[in-house]
Amino acid sequence: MRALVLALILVSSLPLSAITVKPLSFAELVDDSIAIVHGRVAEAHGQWTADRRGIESLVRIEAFDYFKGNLGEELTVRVPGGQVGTFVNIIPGAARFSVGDRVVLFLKATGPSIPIVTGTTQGVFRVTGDAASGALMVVPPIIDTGGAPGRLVRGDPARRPLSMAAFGAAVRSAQVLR
Amino acid sequence: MRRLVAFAMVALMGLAQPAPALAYLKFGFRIGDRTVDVKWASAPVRYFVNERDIPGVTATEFGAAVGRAAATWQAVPGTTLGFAFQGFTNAPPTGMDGRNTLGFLERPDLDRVLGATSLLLDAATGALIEADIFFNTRFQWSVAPQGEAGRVDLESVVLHELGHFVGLGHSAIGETERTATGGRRVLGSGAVMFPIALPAGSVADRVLQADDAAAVMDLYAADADRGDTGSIRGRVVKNGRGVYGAHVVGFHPATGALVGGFTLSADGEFVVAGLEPGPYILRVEPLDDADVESFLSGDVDVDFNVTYAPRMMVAPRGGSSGAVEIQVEPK
Amino acid sequence: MTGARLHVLVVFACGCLLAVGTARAQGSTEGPSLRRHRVALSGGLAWTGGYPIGDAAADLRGNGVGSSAPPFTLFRADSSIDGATGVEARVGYSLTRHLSIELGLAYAEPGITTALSQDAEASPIELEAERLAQYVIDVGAVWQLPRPIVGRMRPFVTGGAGYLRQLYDERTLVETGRVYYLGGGARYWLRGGHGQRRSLGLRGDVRATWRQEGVDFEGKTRTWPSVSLMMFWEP
Repeated sequence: MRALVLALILVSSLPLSAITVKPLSFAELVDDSIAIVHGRVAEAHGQWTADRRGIESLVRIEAFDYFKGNLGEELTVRVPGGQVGTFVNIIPGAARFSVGDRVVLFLKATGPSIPIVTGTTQGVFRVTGDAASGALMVVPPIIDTGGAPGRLVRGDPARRPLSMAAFGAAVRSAQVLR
Repeated sequence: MRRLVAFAMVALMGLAQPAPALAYLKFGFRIGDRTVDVKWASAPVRYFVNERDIPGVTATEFGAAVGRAAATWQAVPGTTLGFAFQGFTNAPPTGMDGRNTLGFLERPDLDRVLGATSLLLDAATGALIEADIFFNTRFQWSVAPQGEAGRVDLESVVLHELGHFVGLGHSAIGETERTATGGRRVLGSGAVMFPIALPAGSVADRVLQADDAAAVMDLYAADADRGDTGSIRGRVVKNGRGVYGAHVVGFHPATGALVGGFTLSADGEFVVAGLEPGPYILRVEPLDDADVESFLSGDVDVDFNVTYAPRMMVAPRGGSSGAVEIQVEPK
Repeated sequence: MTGARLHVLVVFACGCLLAVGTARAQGSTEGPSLRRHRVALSGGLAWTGGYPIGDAAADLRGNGVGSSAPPFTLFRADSSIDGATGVEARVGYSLTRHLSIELGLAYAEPGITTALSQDAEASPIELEAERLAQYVIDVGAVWQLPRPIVGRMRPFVTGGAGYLRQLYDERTLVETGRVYYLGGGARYWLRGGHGQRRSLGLRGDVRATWRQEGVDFEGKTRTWPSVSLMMFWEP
């Protein structure tokens, strides 16, 4: 069989090596997603795409809770790139997961297909423990939660990782706005 | 013959043996206990251009734009990078065919993506062996020398995607603003490899900036020229602990060059390399206005203020500065 | 003090020295002087003044149609080299009783101070000084004016050119340039100055120095004043 397979900018994902015209707003991210899940990466393995022209990875998530929708206590997410046997594919900038990662994922799907991450990496948030309190915090900060138009100043103290509760409130607020 | 299987580490150098990194991230690949740069092993890199015309751009015009963009990267002094056009093809810019192909694709589902690159890797060496780039026909393109209002400048986007094509990730040197309708737009960018494009009609990104040049010099510097640049190294700390994922930008006041790097380890260590020798002002900033995952994965710390290194640091010719420790404060 | 004003001041001062020396020529006895065809050594302290070396903007490529959108300024950096006190040594050879040529060496450690401003994401700040090891090697001429100012003090005018070498901290990078100076001063004899006795005394110099290249962020010619106070001795 021919050597390594080149996986594509896949059918329904936004490859991060791309150059984007306009990033998704948080409200659009919420609106475009059928589910928003907080969970833990339990497993990841590669497989051929349906047209067998590329490789994608299936990532199994153990869900703790949902901010929107419900895809069950365990769900599988499709991510571009990965490895099948001796075939290795790299999609620069695609979301990368390791077993044990704790994440909040925004997911979309077409029909009954396996969901993918909305906006590729834009739909990936990491969950970390706050150094002081140990509380679970969602990173990175949400960039545009109804703030006034204007320059996004790096280091803005108003833009900080949110607690799970605050993140959930931001999701609900975005849904109301839409 | 089947090659040895190796697990490809996508993008994040910090998960492997730390290696000097610039404002963009290089793609790293782990072989055994070491990490190698994902790059073309030899020059010139041969490529094909898909023969399809699209409204406003013929295949010939497209090929010419690709040639100009390739020449721009190739013209960075002191590198071994080279490109060679092999001709037009009817093969699409996707899939496994043993050719590096650039072309247009209809991707209305990717309504926010101008173009994208896909890389194929030799698992045994980490060397690039095939790469394709597509440009989305969902947008209106232009090859006009001065640009056209309402149309995206093709050469600018080709230049960006060719940066990925040779192994570069995105640069974080840039500032954005929140728009009235939500989302963001660019106020200013410090690199062609910044992930958000300038607006339709702009042709400014046909020209590489200092950060872009430093990036490709790091990957493809000719041996004889490696001694002409220098680097600055140090550490970003907060409350005595290293900061992971801080963006460090060096500014050369004589040349105006802005070149950056990231702290890629839990120790908060960074190296900004490919620098023209001289004194630099170092500025550390959190990636709290960005799609962080497009640069780094893991527990990126964004809870600190923009901070300057206490004094200028000197990048010597052919060497590295002494280490500087930059203390940042929580927001 | 601007460079132009410094130039005017130095020329005026030299003119005064010349005028005083000449005015006293009438009816006055000649004062002390170095012996002809002798070497004279001088050494002591020198203070060099500060001067700006550049105001730079950290600009990003602006967002606009075409290729000429105005840049977006991330911050500005205004740098200068501080005044510093160092040491100076000179070796002179008297061609005549009035004219000598000299070789000089001066060393100082001025700092580069940078003030950062116009950063919407950080407060204005002044960075700690980056120390330079600065060497000046010059060759010049000293013309001792015909008559003393008073008693055992005689004025002179001087001028010359030289080589500038500035090393950044840790001595990892060097910048070089050229210097030109014009100035004047006076010698005061503590001993000798007449007949065969060896001279020993004090010497004060005031100079304006023009510098080309060296550490500069705008590539401009800069001017700085210097004042030195030395002992001189004919061995």
